[in-house]
Amino acid sequence: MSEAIVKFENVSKSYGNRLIVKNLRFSIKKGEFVTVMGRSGSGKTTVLKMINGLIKADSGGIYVYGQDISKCALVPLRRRIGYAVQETALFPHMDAYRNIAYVPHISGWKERDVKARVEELADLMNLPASVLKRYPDELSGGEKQRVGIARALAARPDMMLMDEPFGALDGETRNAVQDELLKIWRRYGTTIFFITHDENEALKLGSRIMEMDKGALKERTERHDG
Amino acid sequence: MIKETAEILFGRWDFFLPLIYEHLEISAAAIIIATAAGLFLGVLISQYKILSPYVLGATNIIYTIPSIALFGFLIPFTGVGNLTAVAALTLYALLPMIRNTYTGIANIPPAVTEAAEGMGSGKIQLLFRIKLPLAMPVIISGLRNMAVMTVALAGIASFIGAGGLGVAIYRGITTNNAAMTLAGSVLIALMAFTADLLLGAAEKAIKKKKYLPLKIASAAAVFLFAALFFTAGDRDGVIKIASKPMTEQFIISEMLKMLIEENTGLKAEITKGIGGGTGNIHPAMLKGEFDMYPEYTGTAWKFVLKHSDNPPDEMMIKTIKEEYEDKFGFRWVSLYGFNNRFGLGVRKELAEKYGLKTYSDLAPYSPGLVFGAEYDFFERDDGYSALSSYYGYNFKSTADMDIGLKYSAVNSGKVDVINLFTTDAMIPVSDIRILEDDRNFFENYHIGTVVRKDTLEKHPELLKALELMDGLISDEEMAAMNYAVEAEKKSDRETAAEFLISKGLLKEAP
Repeated sequence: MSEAIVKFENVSKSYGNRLIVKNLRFSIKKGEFVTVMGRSGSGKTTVLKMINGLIKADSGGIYVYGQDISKCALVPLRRRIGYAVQETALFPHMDAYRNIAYVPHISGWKERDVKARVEELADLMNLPASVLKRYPDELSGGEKQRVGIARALAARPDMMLMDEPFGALDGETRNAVQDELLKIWRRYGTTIFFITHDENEALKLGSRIMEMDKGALKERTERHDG
Repeated sequence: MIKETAEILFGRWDFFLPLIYEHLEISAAAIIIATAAGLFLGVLISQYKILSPYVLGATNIIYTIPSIALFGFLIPFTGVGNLTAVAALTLYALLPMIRNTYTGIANIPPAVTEAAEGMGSGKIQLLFRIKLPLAMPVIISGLRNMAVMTVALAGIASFIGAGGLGVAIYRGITTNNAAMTLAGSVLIALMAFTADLLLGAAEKAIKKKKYLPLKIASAAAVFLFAALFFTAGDRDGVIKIASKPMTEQFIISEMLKMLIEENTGLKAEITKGIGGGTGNIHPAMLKGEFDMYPEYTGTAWKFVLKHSDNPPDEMMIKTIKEEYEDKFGFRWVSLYGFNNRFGLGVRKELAEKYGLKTYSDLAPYSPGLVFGAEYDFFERDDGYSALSSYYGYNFKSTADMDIGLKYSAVNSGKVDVINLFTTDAMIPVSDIRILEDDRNFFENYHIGTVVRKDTLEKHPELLKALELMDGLISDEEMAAMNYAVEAEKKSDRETAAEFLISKGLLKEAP
């Protein structure tokens, strides 16, 4: 558990003259579940999107799986990183099955393998077969989140980037999907970078808890174990 | 009127069916090309936003050009006929396609495209798997508007010699047959309505996410149109006859076709009623889009050769023939005999009372008479005032009137003298005497066949067939045939056949 999967070296990013990320240095080791808190506008999402190259850094170096992402091809890199965002952003024109199958499809998997993988994930995320045939606007909030997580996991990524994926859920459902996520993390050892507003969520899920403030990521040292 | 329209619709399917087919062909071609090009440009400007004001601006400008003007602009490039029609319709159809594609893509929630990108979609995958499918409802509603507009607008295409149901409308207008015009309009409306219905169903299917039936339907449509285009067939080796939008030209062109097919074994095809007449037919003849058309000496002299004097017939005809050969490589083959010129008509009882035979005879009596003509005649340089000063007329008063009302006005005594064309349909049934232009004020409009020389060289047997028209038709006979078509609603083909049979040039109607 010592290999750094993500490494930021003196990374800065500003919008106009507003400095959002200032000389950021940090790294994520393989298998860590990093939860990140911080006020809105503090730059959490910017950091997350810099990891998969959706946002480019102004200066500094970002290395993912040991590759400098300003130099390597982003499309194959992104396919190795699961991505789940607020409100899930499911594709409205695809049913749940095809949403989950999206990355395997664009990566050119055989249909037989895709089907087996979707069924495996549906089982894992407690999604019955009838739900797989529904379109996003026919799913409940909890079902949408489960589909969103299943979609992010579909191509067996080594790492997942999750930006407040459970923000819109009520307490009970939220608890249930949190437990499912923890189960997956424990079973597969997937590295997770997870942004949340909710301190309880950050403490419950994270193996390492950080806070974004004034352009820097700081370790939260105190832990509330049990 | 409704009854007459229904009779025409059900009674003349052989006339309408090919027009419907051609209308479908022209509109479908424009719709398919505009859809492909519009999608491409819409996608392009949504990827490269810097281009969007230019592309949208340019198509907006095209969209505001009146359709007749756009057809006019295109004729020098694409000629007279279906190609121009398809080009113009495509240009109009571009705007709704581009705009809706662009808007449809721009309105996709950014979170959705970003999620797709963050998961590792390539540019092409993003476009075809996410952007286009999500923009599809907006694109389809643009397609729906565009298709209805194109089907309706294709009706105007016949003004520049294209086929389609506009031919029926235009034929109705030029031969004073309102039921025919209405029948063509009803069919166009039905086609537009059907297109709207089908695309509306497609739109609904997309909203309900029933993609499978939609895929089957669009595959079937593509197959159908492909079949349509491949059966369109080869028209080389067919003699192409053009005609101006006038009843007598329709009848004459039918005669030419019958004489050619009866006597040569060649096939002939008529494009009836090309809007703008000589102005569009002459350039098309030069390009070889048509092989022949009936033309008037007066038009050739003034409009084509741009002479301003008015020499005696023999000299004018000789000069026209020479200049046509030298300048254009066209030959004038035979003159049919009648002369469709401007003329003056007087109510018969007045003519007898004062002994009026010539234009000069009219001058001393003019202060006691009322002169009626259509508005245009009072405006043109070679019209009323030039005529009055040339012959010394001084009419008591003048009256503007619609062409269709002139004859009843003179019959009922509202006016005493009218201007007319010497083969007008109403002459045979009106109580008037046509006076003789003794001092040669109006040009003569003898009519003959203008033929491309290379067509005659390629098919030498044509000459003999075309010469059969020489001196065949008198003013009175032509006026009577015009009357048969305009007032008795006989078809031009039937009228032409009956006449040729009566002259022994045809055994039976084809």
